[in-house]
Amino acid sequence: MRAGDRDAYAVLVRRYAADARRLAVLAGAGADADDVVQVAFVKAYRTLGSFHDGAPFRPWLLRIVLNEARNATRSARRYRAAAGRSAVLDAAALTVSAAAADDPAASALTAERRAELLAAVRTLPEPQQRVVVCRYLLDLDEEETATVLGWPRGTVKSRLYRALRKLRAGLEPAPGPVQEVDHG
Amino acid sequence: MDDVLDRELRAWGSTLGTALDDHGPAPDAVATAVLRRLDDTPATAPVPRRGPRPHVRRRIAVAALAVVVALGLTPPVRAAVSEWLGIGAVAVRPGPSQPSAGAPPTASADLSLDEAAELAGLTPVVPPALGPPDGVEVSADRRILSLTWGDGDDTIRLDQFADPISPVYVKSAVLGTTATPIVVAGHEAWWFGMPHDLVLLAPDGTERPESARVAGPTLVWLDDDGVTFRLEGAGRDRAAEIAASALGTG
Repeated sequence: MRAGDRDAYAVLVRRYAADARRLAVLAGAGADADDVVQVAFVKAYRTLGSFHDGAPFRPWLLRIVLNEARNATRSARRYRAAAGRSAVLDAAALTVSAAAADDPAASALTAERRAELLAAVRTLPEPQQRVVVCRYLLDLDEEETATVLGWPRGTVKSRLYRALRKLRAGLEPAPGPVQEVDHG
Repeated sequence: MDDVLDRELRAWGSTLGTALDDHGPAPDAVATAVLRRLDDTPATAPVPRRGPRPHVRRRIAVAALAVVVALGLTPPVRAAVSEWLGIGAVAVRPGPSQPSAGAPPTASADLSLDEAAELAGLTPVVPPALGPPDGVEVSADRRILSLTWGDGDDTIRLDQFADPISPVYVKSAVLGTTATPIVVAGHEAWWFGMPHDLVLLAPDGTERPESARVAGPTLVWLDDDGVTFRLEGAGRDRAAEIAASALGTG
């Protein structure tokens, strides 16, 4: 039974470690991402007992990860705010060029186009960036996104809608210079 | 929303996710690190559950003492994890029950217990309450060893699997409603009282739709070695009796 507790929790950790790290990195935790993930899993374990029965684990865990990432990057965030930069997608920029050329998903999208998408997403206000990250980069559904970000579901829906509208306006026609997007 | 931009964002997300994962530690390493941290950090007082359901409270009362004493684990951990993961190698996902189920499939009589043990790498437990089985089989991937007794509507089937890491089966049930935790001979068990969907999982966690069938009421429990047992074809009281005998206390 005691071993069972550990084994059972280890299964959860293994299953969700990659998701948790994706979010930690995308939330700007940078070099602290692995530590953020571990702390989040420890906190999740400690509070399992207070958690609502029957609710799914992943969004709840990711919410803890996001909070931890925010704590870990508070000073970095202040710097970014001063420099007018985006906190969410710094890591995405780093990995755009790192994506393997033979990745099957990459073949659907040129490196150039990925860079364009990144640039366009970066022009979005931060809440809209977060919703795009959750829905597309973490592949969460609307309800999971609402849990992770702590917003009502309607807010998730409307912010995603506005984000996509803005991206569409900025990105079409496809080979356009995204940097000149005017979103006033 | 199924347009070019939507597809592009998805493709981008999947590329980016893969790139991020490539730079991350292996899931096993994360699990090891987390367990080490849990061992190193003294547990704080268990957080009281907000309005636990009565049956959970009863079960905790039974199980709590032994758990808390030795490792300082929060008692509801296993209960909570069970609700997400099921028990042992049986995962549970929320889903409706089915109106009816046929008898479980019988195993052939071609295999001896010893041969089966060799194939599955698992010494089969034969519950004294049932006596020698009429059929013995091992799944093609060697992860499941099955014993059956009787035939037709009276078939009783006992599946045993040793792998606690990757779930072998997924059951659809609503935990706390159509699936209830019970204690058998001091061991945690789940009683799936309604016919329900049962699907086999491949080791990578994907479902094998061809394996799907509707299973009848089933009792699932773990023994002290971490072997998962899945007993189908007996009513709740009889199933608990068989489980207790399999656990060596009946």
